Amino acid sequence: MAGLLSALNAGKTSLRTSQKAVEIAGNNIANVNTPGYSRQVAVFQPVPSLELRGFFIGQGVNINNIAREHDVFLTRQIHDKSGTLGEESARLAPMAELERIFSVAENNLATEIDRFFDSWKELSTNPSGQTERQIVLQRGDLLARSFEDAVTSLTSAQRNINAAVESKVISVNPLLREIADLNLRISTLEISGQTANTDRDRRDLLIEDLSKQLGVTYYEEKGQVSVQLPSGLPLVQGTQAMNIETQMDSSLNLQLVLRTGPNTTTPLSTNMIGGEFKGLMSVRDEFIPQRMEELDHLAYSLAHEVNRLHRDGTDLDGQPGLDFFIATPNPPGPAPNPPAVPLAAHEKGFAKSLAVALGDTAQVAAAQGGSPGDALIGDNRNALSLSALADNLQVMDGNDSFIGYFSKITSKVGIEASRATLAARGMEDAMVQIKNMRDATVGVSLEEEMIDLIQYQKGFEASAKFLAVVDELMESILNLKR
Amino acid sequence: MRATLTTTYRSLLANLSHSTTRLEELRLQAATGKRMTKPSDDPSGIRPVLDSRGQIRSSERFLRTLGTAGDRLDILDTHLDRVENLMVRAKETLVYAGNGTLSQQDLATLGDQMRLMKDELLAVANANVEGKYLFSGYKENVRPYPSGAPGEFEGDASSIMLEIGPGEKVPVGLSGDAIFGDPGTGKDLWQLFDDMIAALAAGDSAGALAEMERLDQTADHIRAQRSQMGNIAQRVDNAQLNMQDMRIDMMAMLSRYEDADIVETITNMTMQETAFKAALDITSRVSRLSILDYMR
Repeated sequence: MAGLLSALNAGKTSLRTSQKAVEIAGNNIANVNTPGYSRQVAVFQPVPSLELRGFFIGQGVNINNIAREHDVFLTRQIHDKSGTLGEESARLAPMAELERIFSVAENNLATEIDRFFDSWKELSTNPSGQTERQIVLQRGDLLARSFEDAVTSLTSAQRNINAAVESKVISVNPLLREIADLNLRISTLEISGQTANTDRDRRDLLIEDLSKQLGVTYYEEKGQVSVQLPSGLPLVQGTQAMNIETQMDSSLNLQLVLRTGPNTTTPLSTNMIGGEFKGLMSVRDEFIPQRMEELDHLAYSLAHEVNRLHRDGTDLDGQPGLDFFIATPNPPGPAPNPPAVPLAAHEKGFAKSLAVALGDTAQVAAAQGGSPGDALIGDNRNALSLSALADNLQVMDGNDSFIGYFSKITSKVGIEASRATLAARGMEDAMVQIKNMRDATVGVSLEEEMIDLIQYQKGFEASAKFLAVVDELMESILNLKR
Repeated sequence: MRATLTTTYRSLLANLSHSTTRLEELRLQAATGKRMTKPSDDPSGIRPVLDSRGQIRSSERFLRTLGTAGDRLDILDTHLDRVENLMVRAKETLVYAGNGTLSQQDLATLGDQMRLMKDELLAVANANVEGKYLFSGYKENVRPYPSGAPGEFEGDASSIMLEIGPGEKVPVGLSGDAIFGDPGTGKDLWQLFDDMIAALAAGDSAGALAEMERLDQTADHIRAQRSQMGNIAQRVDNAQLNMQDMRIDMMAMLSRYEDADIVETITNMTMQETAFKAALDITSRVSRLSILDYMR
């Protein structure tokens, strides 16, 4: 009887274990589409044998662990690649905006430059013509506005990036908090010998997300991960999570800071972060300002060259030419003579403040000779010199034309946009590959789970049959005395 | 490698999205006819595109300037033709006056004719086209020879230049100074006519005939000026043809960089559509095979 009771017990463990295994398969099936879920496997172990009249007889089976399929190498790869993918793909939207500003379509800044000098060519065929003079002033004005538009669009691209950064900061901080919380739960669970499978899956997923946004690095110790920025600044330490905040600096630029204490913050410069933030911030703080500087340089050089020649000329009244362009502190208004400062040697902000200085068509200095009171109204020599600036290959720093310089700026935008697109596409492909490799090892395969399910079901059925047999045997024994 | 449901769907999705992206690019190319719609499409093509567009615009400008130059030279030629005719008539008059059979009265009449010629010459010298004096150089608002007692040239001695090609400037006007002369220069048409008129009025036929050499020299000088302008008109005509050719070349160049080869684009698009259909078909097949269909 004692033997049969032990067999009954063994049957019970088998029934219970098979049922548990079915549940585990069921849970795997349930999570077939859960991102970041790692397949779980029941680890069966026989219950230690007992000696019975000189024989060691097994006492049944037990599930002593639910193991989580895991590949640290692939997980690390995914986390690393996420940072690069985030950085490159974050650049795409602002770069698309920049490509619109530096367009290659029919109407761009180059066209306005062309048209401005063309208006001088037109004036040269009829230097005393009021219409031609008016067109020169208008083309100058349109050119100045095109420069201003380009700068305004660049500034608004920077503002859009600020808005994107701000909204991302809001989503990053809860991630940090949750990782810290998971650290606590995982370490507490695992100290007591349990496995915190789903919590670890969740934490890996959060790190992946965080890495995409910030390009973080991390290491694990006693079940807790420490997450750091690429520069080494800690974001999560054990159960402590830092906060990333935004601050306006003195020039009203949005800056990221890491809150390290109630009253202390550390500014985060672009090279201290990675991921989407780095992608966005580098476009905002490096790429756009460089293009703006180049626009300023172009606007300044153009205005400077035009002014130099224009001052050499003589206007319709025989007076010496004035400055054609000026830099205004404010956008030029309808007033004929806006409050103006003469051309500053300093180029910064020049493209935005460029304006036509002349208010009267008579002031257009198309002539080269003549003197006050004795104007040469048919003299087109200065108009010819000015129009020749368009084809002068040395006006930009002695080695390029205005349009050539603008082409260079546009090429830089094109090259960077196409590089970012290619890099993002390549990273996406790589990401698909790595994630596929990860899922090949740790992902749920429905076929596999169904077969496991049949296997466990058969085990369950056999255990039930076994119990029935044992029951019959017991019945037989009980019936012996009747 | 183990294939799971997730890996299969992820790969399919990646392929479909690549296909649609490429298809969209090709559709945009086919619809716009442009291979280059944004800087990143061909960064190295930006400069040639912007340059050739600028060249096309400037060639259009040059063609208009050439038109203006042609008009000006035509007008100038018409006026110089009148001057030349007058010179011929003056010479005929001199020859007629010099045959020695004319009376004092006849000579005086010839002198009056000569005076009328001078007046006509003055009208030509003071010709005004579209509000501009033709022979005033840069001072197109100043009457070159004041009526009454002409002689002093009040215009400007320069000839107006127009740019008819990149860096190529040609004169399209003549200063009155160069044609009709100025007392200071010694070559003075007005003085010549005054001398001829005076001789004829005085009945001095020998004196009038003595001016013949001066008249011939002056007429030669004017003819030389006119043929010089004729050469320039020829040059303008040629430049016009060249500029039209250059404009076509530039348009071809722009098209080479900017335009899509429609045949190629549509062929590529058809290929891409086939690839996309195949990818869609594969995707729909995935769900047809499952162990679940074989389990009771």
